[in-house]
Amino acid sequence: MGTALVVTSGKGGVGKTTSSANIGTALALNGKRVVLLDLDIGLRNLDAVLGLSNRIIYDIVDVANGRARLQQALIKDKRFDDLLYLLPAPQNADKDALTPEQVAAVVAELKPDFDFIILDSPAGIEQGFRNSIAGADGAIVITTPEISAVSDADRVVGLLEQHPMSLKPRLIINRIRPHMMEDGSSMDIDEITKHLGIDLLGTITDDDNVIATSNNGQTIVMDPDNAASRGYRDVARRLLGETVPLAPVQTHKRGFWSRLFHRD
Amino acid sequence: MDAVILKGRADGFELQLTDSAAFSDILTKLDALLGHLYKDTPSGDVNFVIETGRRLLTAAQKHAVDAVFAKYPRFSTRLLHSDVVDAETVQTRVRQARTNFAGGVIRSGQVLAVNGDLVFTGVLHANGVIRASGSVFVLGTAEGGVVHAGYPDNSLAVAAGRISDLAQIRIADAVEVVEDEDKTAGNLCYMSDEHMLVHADLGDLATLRPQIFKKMEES
Repeated sequence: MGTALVVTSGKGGVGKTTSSANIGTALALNGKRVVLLDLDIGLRNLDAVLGLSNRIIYDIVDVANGRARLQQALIKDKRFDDLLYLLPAPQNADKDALTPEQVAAVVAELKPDFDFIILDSPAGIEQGFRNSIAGADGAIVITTPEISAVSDADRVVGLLEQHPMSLKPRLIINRIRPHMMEDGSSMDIDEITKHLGIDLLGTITDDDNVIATSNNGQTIVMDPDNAASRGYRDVARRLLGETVPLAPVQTHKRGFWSRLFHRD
Repeated sequence: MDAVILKGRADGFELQLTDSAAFSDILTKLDALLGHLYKDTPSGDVNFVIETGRRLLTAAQKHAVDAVFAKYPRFSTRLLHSDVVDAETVQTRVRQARTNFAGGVIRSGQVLAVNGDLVFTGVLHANGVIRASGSVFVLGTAEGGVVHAGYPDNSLAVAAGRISDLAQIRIADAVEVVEDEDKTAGNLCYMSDEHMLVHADLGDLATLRPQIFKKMEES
């Protein structure tokens, strides 16, 4: 039986969809069968990030309403043999087109066939959020080292605590800018983790290539040398139960000329 | 003028129900006429074409005519024809046969749906949908998105024009995912006899789907 994990944040734009795609891909690279569920109804993106938009015929609402069978709606990512699948969201339906019970039923139907079911939640804490947490066994909370994102993550952790899941919520701090963390202008990893009071699952360095790859329908984890990629790969290994030490935040050593000409 | 007139046709008999006569007279006359004929032709089945002229029979009236025929088991009606149709049927037919023109931007999540053919001069964005019961001719640009021609079951419809940058082409119940290798595959997509979506050059449209051009001549 597979494990269903919801990726959520409260705040928009912190990297839920990017993280869902990358964690899913990283798990598939580890040989696990993974299905990604896009629950952002009316504003779907996960298909675009994975480069699978062209192949959407049926979506999760079609499955929930019995217009299509689950197997018809699942899109296989050909790059990963038989390991990575997407169940897309509809683009022209209302957020209320789906109920938590329907999502739970879809997840239950997927569990026997997959090792991981990753639910990409929409921003906010309304219907879409309630739908996303309905079928989940655990939650991955995404935040960035900004006060607004941490504040929203705190609200989400509070809501998750009201609906206890079998696995405790875990935290990913995304878009870490090493130089800002070093000079104290952004919030510290320990500070955020301590404030939110949940276990840290991983940290992801801010990297231009994350955007560049996603614009090409690819995920950064495919690049083994990238810092952000290593972050997601470590997250996947921790999800699989390995003990992976937290990689130190790599600061960019500034050279003599840089220090001379770019004084802060 | 008689309420019912019997005429011989090359392919059988025709019963003309005079449109200026009262319907009750028609039923009486029809019953009498069929009664005579039944006696005169002791054996053999006879099929009649019923012509109602400029009268449109209601369901109840059709039922009444059928009830008269039911008395004469060897007689039956083959076809019910009239010179007129009701306004609703006409409107549906006109809409089906019409060529629509649409422009503007069809954005993500929006659906442009029309009855009949569609000439699209606007811009179709990714995740937008254009749907027509007839053929779709894309004169504008399609940057992703879905064109669905022949919705829901008209397999003679085609998708033509700038279709190489679409995400999907759908005709009737068939779907084609436009992959990168299809990008150069001509500017016409139609459904083959084997129920496959096939690409061709727009120049072949006249031979592949002559009915599209006939319709243009008629209207």
